[in-house]
Amino acid sequence: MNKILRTNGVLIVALLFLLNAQPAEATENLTDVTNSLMCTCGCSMVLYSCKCGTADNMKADIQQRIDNGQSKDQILDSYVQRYGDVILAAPPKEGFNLSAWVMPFVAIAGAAFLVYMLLKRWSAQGAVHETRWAQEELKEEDLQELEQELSKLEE
Amino acid sequence: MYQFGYNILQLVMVITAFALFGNIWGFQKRRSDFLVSGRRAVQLSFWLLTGTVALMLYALLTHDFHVEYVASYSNRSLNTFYTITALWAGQKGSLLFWTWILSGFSALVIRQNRNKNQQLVPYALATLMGIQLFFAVLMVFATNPFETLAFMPQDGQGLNPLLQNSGMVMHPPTLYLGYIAFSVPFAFAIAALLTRKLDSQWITTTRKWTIAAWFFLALGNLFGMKWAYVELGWGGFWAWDPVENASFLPWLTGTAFLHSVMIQERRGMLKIWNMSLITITFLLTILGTFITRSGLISSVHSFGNTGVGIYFLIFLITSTAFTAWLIITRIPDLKSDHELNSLLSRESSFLLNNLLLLGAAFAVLWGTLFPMISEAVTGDKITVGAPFFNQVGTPIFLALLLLTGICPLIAWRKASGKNFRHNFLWPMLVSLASGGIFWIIGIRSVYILMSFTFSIFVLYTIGMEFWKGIRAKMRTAQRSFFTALRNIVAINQRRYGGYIIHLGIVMIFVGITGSVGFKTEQKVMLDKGEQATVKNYTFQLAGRYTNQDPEKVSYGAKLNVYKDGKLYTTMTPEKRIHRTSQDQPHTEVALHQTPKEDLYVVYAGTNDNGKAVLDIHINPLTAWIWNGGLVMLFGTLIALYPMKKTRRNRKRNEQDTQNKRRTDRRAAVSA
Repeated sequence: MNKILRTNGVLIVALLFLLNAQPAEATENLTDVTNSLMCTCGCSMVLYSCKCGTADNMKADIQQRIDNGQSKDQILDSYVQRYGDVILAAPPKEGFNLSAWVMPFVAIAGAAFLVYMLLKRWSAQGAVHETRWAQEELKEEDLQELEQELSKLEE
Repeated sequence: MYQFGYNILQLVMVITAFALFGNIWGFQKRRSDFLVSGRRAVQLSFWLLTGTVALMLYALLTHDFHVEYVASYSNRSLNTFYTITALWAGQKGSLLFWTWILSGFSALVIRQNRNKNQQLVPYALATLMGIQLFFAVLMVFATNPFETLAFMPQDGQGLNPLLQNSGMVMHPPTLYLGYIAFSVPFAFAIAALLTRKLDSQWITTTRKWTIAAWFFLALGNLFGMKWAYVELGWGGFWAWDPVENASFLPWLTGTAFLHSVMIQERRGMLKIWNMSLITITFLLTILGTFITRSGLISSVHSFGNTGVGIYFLIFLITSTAFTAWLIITRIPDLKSDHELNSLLSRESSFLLNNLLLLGAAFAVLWGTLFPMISEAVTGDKITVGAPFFNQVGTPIFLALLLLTGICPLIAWRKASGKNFRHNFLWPMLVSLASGGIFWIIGIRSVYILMSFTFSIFVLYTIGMEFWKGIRAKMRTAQRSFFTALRNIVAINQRRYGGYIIHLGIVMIFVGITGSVGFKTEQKVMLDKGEQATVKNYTFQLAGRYTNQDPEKVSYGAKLNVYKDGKLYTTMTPEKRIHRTSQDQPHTEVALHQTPKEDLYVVYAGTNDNGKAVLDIHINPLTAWIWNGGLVMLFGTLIALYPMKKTRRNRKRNEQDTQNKRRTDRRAAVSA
């Protein structure tokens, strides 16, 4: 059973990582690009969500670039050159900023390992006590007490 | 008169300090006179704060713009309802409101524990008064709600038009109720640590507080989502804004706490963990308030830099240090009463649930704070927005959804392999078959497939749990289906209330998946009489209009919507300009909601050719999110409702238990 749990644990963590890796987009559309950029009006909203005049101008500019055949990366690069990384709605997956993406999963995997070790230790201790307890024969008064406790639980 | 309001707040500060001291001193020195006066001081602080809230409401309703707060958040044309809600619209008012609710909860704790928990209540009250003292100090020294202006303005600045919405009216108070109610289990946890009375009493005493706090936090977040959906006009409901995240974080850790306390109640295990979880939840409520009010992180709906951030930071650091010291020094007394019997048990699955909830909370906190961390390390400013949280959070939340179905299938203490296989076989087959059907009908996105398949899995397990209980009751007690259902729910309200809450969570997952995964949106430009087809709906511009009232000017478009050639509905999206905030026009979304999908239209104005510009969104299954919230409300009421266990019911249950035992014995003999 431990083996099954261990394998499943590894699979779950691997699945979390895999699901996090998204396939590359083949076609560009306005929604996708505007979801990757922030509005520059100072509202702290993703460009897609912002409805201000600045956002309208940016969206029109992006639509024009898409119509001219620019790829998503090209459009994002040109905006980064102008405004810096702060224009991107999510940190680029490189350098120190890569830690933003990796850290949550590393933390979960690390905590999962710790919890697994802890559970293993607890269950080993529990098994020892259970074996000892099972070897002792129950007295009549213990049985009665057990019966009473079970009745309470059932209520 | 308003100086008098400020003087009352000063008095509240002194009385709160006395209540804090009286409860500690009275308990330590066994002085009942101090304990009694300490309790009376708690009650007195509540009545005094009620007076200050009444005074602020009086100032708002009489438009006394001498008071700076009244001038900033209301005006003469604001209707009475929104004038009352202005009480919590700004920082000063919301802090007053917060302190008042906290004092009310403290008075309620005294009332609930008149004849019980005498060991824990003094320190619990002292903790609550410690928190109240912090808020009183804030109002007295940093942000006086009754601050007056040197002159009397003709009119006030009015309430932000975006806040004039029923969702926004309910959002802050429900969130505050959740935040503040979590102070009660936290206070009892601190009392348990200080008195070294570390059994499960503090948990059972505050069980209903915890459920209520969790529920109000969930409700507050849902109201916020609904407000964003109908008011902001971008077709979505959750933007992963730092302030939204701040209210989501304690909900995640609170959910973990709600589950893990069950292990302590049943098995006497995870004592340190539960103490840590309630502490983290409380500290996250303070962190959330700090983020909202410090101006540290820019957000679309924070209060900005209000000068109280430093106070919150000091309180946060002090509370963290004190609780950490308290837990660390009590570790020897916090040992578990039992060991784990098997790796495969309900206890383990709850731990895995806790791990994922805490993992999700960490991911959200990490993403929220990362811009500051990155700037400190690299010197460059970056943004962490919705794409990050969606990408990182989705797999974690899907795993949590799956676990919602798995946990009830695993037995407490020790599940055998046979039992495990028996419980899992049908739910797994049914959900996999459903997944296959989803694939056949054309769903290809892995996330959407997983979300729907896992939802079916959870629904099946919830149904199975209810059916198993009902069937057993029908067999052993010869009851009808509905009587059996009523009986099992009455006997174990928390368990079945919890399953209903899980059902609500599944509905919310389905709604989010549908509205995010299958949404259609199109920008169209129409002249009068022209029409555009989006999905299977035809939108025809019937005309445009302008409405004026003392508060605002509304520019609207009237749309006839046709489906299958027949008039389906009429929609009137508007763009409004309020006189008090002319630089901030806002949209009034036209919404036609059905369980299948929402028609959501935003009037963006007119283009250069004079045509109406309309953003048309068709959002499938969005209504399920709000209906899921209602189901959660129902489940919470089931869990909290004080059902009368009458003598007749008890006798019936005793008879049922005896019958069941007899049946079991017969079965054992025949076997």
